[in-house]
Amino acid sequence: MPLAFEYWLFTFLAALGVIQAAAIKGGLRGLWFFPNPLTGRVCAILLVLIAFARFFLPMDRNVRGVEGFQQSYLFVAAALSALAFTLALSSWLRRGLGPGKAGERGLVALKDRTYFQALSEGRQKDGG
Amino acid sequence: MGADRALFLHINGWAGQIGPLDLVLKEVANDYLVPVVLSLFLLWLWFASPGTRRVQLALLAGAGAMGLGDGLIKLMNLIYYRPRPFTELSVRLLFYRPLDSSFPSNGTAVAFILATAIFLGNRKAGVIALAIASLYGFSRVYVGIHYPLDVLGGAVIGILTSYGVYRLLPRLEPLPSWLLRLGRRLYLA
Repeated sequence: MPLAFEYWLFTFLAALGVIQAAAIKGGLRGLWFFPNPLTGRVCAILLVLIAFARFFLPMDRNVRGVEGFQQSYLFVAAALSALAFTLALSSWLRRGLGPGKAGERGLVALKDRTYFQALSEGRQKDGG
Repeated sequence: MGADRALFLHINGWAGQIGPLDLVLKEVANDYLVPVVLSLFLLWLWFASPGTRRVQLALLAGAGAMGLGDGLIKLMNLIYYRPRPFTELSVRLLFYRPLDSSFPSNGTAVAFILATAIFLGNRKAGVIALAIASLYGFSRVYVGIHYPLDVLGGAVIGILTSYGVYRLLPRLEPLPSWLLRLGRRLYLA
């Protein structure tokens, strides 16, 4: 597997875990994979641990590979993929959530509705 | 330059003396570990404090500084090339041999851009992030791939670009507000 792809996979999995943990801390229930925050935290920690172990344990990573700033661009790509995955999966898993408080916009609106619910509410509002 | 070399030899002289310390600092010096940990820290702040303008501006500054820092270092490397310590001195090398210019330390610049952005978004988390970035810089000297001045140069570039872009954001209005409004409309900010 090319190192750039392995790096992408590593950061994708780690970002997935961090977004879960942060969403629980920020009370963004619409982003949670599990209704129980404790299960979510355990899942988040496992994702981060698996990501780091999978990347670092099988081999010595002190080899020439992805340069510093290139890494940042790959990280952004992986984090955005992890975010897109989170939005899709949490919207499906938590589809029973909501409807939340009317009129809320932005990330805080995901405290009581899923991403797809928020998008569709926003579209209806914009449409009049 | 003489003091820089002397300090390098002093710090690198510790390498190979204490096994566990070598093991830890080799991992810290790794190209991937610290930059990823700091990037994840910034991502965590965004979702853990949803809608906090200070965090949002800090992340925008970090992203802008990353592009600016990349360009700045590429430009500096075109003008000035400094050989790596292991090509000039007898070094206890615990790392692979990078080929690019020793000055400034590219990895340290990235780490300090991220750590400064974290500091601007959240002081407590920022202090930890800056400590991690400093340890990263130190470890790059310890393993024998940078002179202390390279690391200092990378740190200064990282801090100044991140802080500079952060201070510049109000002058770039309405772009930052427009970006954040777009993020809010998409339920991502």
